[in-house]
Amino acid sequence: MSASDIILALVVVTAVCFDFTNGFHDTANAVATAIATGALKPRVAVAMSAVLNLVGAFISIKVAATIAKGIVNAHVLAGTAGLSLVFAALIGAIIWNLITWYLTMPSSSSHALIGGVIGATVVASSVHEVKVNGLLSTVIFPALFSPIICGLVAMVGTFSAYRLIKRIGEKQARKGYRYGQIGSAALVSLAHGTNDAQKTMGVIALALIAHGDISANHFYVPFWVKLSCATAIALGTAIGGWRIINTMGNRLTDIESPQGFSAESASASVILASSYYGYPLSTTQVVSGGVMGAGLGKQLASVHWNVVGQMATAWVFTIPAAAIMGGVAWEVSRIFGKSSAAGSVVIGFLAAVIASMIFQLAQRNKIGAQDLDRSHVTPDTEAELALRKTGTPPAAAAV
Amino acid sequence: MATLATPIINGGALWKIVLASALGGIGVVIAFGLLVLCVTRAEQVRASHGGERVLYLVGGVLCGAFCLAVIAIGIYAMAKKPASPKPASAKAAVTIVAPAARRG
Repeated sequence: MSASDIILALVVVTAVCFDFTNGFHDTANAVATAIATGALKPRVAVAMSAVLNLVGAFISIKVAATIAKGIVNAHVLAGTAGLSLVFAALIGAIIWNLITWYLTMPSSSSHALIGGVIGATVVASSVHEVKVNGLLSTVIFPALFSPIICGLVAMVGTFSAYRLIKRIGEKQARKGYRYGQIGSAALVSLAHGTNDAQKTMGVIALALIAHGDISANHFYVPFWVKLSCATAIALGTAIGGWRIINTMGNRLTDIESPQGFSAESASASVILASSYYGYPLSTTQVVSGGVMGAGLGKQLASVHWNVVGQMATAWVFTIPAAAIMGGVAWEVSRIFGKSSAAGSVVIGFLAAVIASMIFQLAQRNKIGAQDLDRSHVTPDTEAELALRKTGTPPAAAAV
Repeated sequence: MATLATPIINGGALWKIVLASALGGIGVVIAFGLLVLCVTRAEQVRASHGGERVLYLVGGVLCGAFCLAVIAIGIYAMAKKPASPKPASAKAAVTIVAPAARRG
């Protein structure tokens, strides 16, 4: 077995691990509001999301963007050194995902991966290998506009929903919107599976091309790659990232079923419209924008701006931090030789140790499904709770 | 780093995204709310006003159809989203595949 074979195996395993972390890190995107309002029990919600992530990964067989597309020059990723670079990038992305998970901050797994690639590329070659135009148009600009568009759509949607509630009646409306939440959460789960699983498939396919297992001229994603990525993201989702679900569903704003439905509908619309028109997005940022917009649509003051500030900080730091980690991983790997398998094995081992430490730390303030279960909150009690908080009936509290 | 040679923002596409998002995101919330309203009212007038009930039911069906249509369009968009450029472009193919020759 050559060094190239060993590194390829490491890249494939690590990419699947990244997909797993993507699953449990981003579960919150789809189901957080449905859990927060009690529309779904936590375990039912993540099970549904897991199945739909699995299905979503197979819906589109068109290969999603490889991590290198438009971000760094292709020749950087060539050969065994290129495989090592992709491996270092994956390590950087996984570690950053775990850190933000520990800190309970929703952040973009895709941006972490891109950051890892940029960092490893800059350290391995030079800053000139990074395509600024591609970075701005496919990463930075969508990251800026997507949460704003989603927030505005969710705000208007929420405002409209509360106007309608006055005509429908509290109990019937809230019951109806709860059913709607299940549908909208399902659609976001499906979109997440399609978008994010495809990214990892692209990473593995790229590694297989660099290794010579797939011809670049007859590019395709082998079925085992599709199956392993789909399964990994579904398993990660099924584990349930309760820490981030808590932040997204409960800490950003006090959410009710009409708000949850508006936030999820807006998120699904923005994600699908943007990906159709060729703008890749972070589902995390879109859904966060939607939840904030839903908070603003009901009561301007109900958004917890301190949590929003922490989350925005995590967003800003995601690419630089993952880049630093990817760069460090590459630098450590290079000590053992640029195309040596030993370097990749060592950083793989170190990453496993760091991941284990983060998991141990997270056990100290563990958040589980039972902590988030609000299925006892019926449409009637939701209305009563809102009444207690504001002193006025929830529908009347709409701006 | 490479200089900025092409426009970063495609204004036309952005405008379409905003419109589609607004139509889907706000439209579905309103249509779903109207669906619940129609069903609720249809139940309330069940005994007394037959004609009014039919109107509410028709309204409910239309709103439900709108919601289902938006979901169907969303799934279509997922399945038919534009393929990203393959790394199989001639230049990339050469640079990426070439090292494989060394492997054998």
